[in-house]
Amino acid sequence: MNPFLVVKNLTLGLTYNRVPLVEKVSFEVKKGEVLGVLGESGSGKTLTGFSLLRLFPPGISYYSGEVWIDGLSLYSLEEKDLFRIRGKKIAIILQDPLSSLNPVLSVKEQLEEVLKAHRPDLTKKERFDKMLNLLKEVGISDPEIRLKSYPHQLSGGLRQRIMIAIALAGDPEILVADEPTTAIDPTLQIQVLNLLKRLNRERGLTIVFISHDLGVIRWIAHRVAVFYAGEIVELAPVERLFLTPLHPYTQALINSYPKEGKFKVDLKGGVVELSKKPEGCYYQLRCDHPCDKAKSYHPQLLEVASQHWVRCFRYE
Amino acid sequence: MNKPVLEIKNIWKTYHVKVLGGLKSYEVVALRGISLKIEKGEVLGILGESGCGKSTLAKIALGLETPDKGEVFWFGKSLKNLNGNTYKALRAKVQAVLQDPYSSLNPRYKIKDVLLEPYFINISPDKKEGLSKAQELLNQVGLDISVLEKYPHELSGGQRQRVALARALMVNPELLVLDEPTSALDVTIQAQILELMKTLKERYQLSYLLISHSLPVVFYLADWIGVIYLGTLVELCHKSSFKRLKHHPYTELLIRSYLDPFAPSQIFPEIEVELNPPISDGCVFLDRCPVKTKDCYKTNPSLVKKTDLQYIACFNV
Repeated sequence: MNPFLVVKNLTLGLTYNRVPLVEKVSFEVKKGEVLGVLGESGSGKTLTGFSLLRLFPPGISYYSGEVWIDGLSLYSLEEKDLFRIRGKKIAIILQDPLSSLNPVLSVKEQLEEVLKAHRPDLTKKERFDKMLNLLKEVGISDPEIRLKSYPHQLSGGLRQRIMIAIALAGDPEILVADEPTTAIDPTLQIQVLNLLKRLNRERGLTIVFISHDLGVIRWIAHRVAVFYAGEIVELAPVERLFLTPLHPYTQALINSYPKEGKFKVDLKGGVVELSKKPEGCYYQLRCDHPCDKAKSYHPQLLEVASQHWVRCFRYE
Repeated sequence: MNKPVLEIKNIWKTYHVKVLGGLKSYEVVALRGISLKIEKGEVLGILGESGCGKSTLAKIALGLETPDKGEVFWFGKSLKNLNGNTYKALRAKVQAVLQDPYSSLNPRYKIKDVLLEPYFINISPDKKEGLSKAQELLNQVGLDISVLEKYPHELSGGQRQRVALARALMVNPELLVLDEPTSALDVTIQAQILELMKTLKERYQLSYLLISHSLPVVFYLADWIGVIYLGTLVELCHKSSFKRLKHHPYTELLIRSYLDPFAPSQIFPEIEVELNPPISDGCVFLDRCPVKTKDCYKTNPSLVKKTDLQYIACFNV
């Protein structure tokens, strides 16, 4: 089967001094697959997520590379044609539902806005039914009442479900979920993850799930891309990645997670300064066995076992 | 016998929230009769979801909020009738490390000033001694003494949290109140800070009141684990027997909701009930409880000793 989403050598970064924050990122996602994106803050995982919709925070711009969604090249489209993709093919949900919902509009108004834009063919009655169905689909038991609510009247779990309902309004085929459960409690997190799993199973929704939480990624993703300093350092099926992590960074990440009340401390851990990336391998300063070659050469992402890609000289 | 470092007796706290510019107000009961104590050298970890009153508890333990009912004791002395000088002496013994290392350090102070300010106020005005103490502590928390001349924005999140720990230790405290100390940090950094907190506890014989929503964090540091639900302490259990005992239904729910990346398989529990304010008389957990009986509608169960190592507030466990 052809991959549904293809990202090729995507590079983006700061507009004013051309420091790349995401560097030559390439990956493919098949239809119906959940790709987990794992990395620490500042590793470029959120920027990558936004770039799949060709959205950029202020001060960030696109340098080069390609994103193909269902055979359409996102970065060669005219700006005015983007509406054919955003919301319809691909939608995004964000970490904090309270700041991504409009506080002065009711749930109904916010859902209606999306439906009017993407489904102008619907009559008022059909639109209303569609809204009720969307809310039911995301597991809201009393949709008529919730349509009249304002965001502040809803709990964190409900808000996140409303966000998902709005994202689903244009019947997208891919959902980019950027840390959708980080701001909510463990019991609510389970509700949201259950919902996303169900949508993936029943609708065949393809999901790019961005998170720094190993536990969440382990139980939602099929494959995982590990980001470090703006590039993918390891890409593997989820079980393989957790059982046999190959890249020293992935190993450090997995070992530092408390397991039975114990963990291994990665002493050199610290956030990379993207403007001061070293020559050669970006991980060399934190690596427990840095090799000589890493000082002057940059490793490539290579397939070292079936489906298991890693960027490290140890495996070349 | 030594007096407990911190003792809290039957604390109630209600906030009055004004809406519509003060035209209307409603009450939020943050804490409903919580009692607990921490002995010297002990770590009490408090688990709970957002809005359950964890942070109010931290503020009350720190003496930053006055409870509506109940009493707080520091080293056996009630905060209610302390005179100014005793209060000042004890004040320094109870210090805080807060969640967000970005907002808990003054951005216009150099790290030097951040560390020296509490020292000058509480210990002595001697700058030379203060600086040597600051250097020693920075060393202990794993920072280079060159950070003394830096501003908080020049440091990373993990480094700032280390500064916050050093600042708390500048005044020789005996109890640290840690309110979500690692939740703003990445996993690798979190591991470093957790280990550091454990080392510091041994070295300076500290007691911790650790507040967190993360099961593994509490499990790593705490001796006793307390679970709060809607302002009520529903369970208190010693870590040594946490794994083998049966728990309060809410604790069970928390354990099942924890996504363990190393488990062989994981079944997601179906949780459908929305949070509602508790019925006035009944158990706070009534709405979401799978094992409720008639009694649960009548009164809110109080914390009952099950064994030496476990206390539970539930009629049916």
